[in-house]
Amino acid sequence: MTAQAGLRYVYAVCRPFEAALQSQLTGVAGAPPGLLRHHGLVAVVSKVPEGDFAEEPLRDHLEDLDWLAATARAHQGVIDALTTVTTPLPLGLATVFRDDSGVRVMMEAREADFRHTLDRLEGRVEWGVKLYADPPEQESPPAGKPASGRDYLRQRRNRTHEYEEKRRAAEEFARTLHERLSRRAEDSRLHPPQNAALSGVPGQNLLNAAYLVARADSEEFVELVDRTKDEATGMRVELTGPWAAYSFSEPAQSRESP
Amino acid sequence: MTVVERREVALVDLLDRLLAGGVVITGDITLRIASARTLGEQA
Repeated sequence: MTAQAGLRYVYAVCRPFEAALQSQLTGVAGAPPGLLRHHGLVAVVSKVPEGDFAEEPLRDHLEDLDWLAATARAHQGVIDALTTVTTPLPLGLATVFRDDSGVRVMMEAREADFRHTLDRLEGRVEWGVKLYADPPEQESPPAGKPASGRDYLRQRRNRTHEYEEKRRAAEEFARTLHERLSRRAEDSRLHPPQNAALSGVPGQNLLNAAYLVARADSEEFVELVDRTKDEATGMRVELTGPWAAYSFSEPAQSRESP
Repeated sequence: MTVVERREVALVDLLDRLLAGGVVITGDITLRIASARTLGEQA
């Protein structure tokens, strides 16, 4: 008997949940997600064509930013839908198996691990907070035209000093912000500064952090972040979320820094 | 459940999580996914 055509693309692992995912929900490659139950855990899976998701075509596709973006958004659509009805343990992009049995073997091997992590994450979501310094062009206009060389040097020194002061203050603010938010969260992760070339966002990224917060505490957490925006002169605070706990799916030590 | 500003999630925020986050599982199809940072350098 031939295996069911197509490969298996896995989005997340969850405990069984009551609610049905909406019928129009489509995942990667337009394939709707289904549930694969194994020993009391559930993998959320789409059947995807081998022509796109076998190793070689997949590698090529992942080099294509348009394909990657579309696939990432479709993937996230499924995770978002899951996050409204349960606490999914999210997988990274493009975790693909040959067939159902491949998925089951994996779930069997990782069962204890998954249960432990699901317990830890149950009822929690991730909030992302980024702090940006406003770019220097927006700083105060230059002093009047210098009357002499000495004058010019003095103005330049003052500007450098001013810039360094602002920089120091911004870094201090970032530290304090992270401390305040960490106290209100169950766990936190500091990520490397975000890639400006990819984000196209102006100004230096001073803080790029993730916070694990219980759903019940999230409204308060969001309000706290909002209040910090008033204190952030010459800087921007950006909040994203709620996310499934991407940054907390692995223990802190085990993830190598990218 | 509070949901913040329903503007579209920035691609870079999404890729940071999908490429560098989530539980690490080795599938049958084995690939090393380029990090978001590497993608940025190529873009």
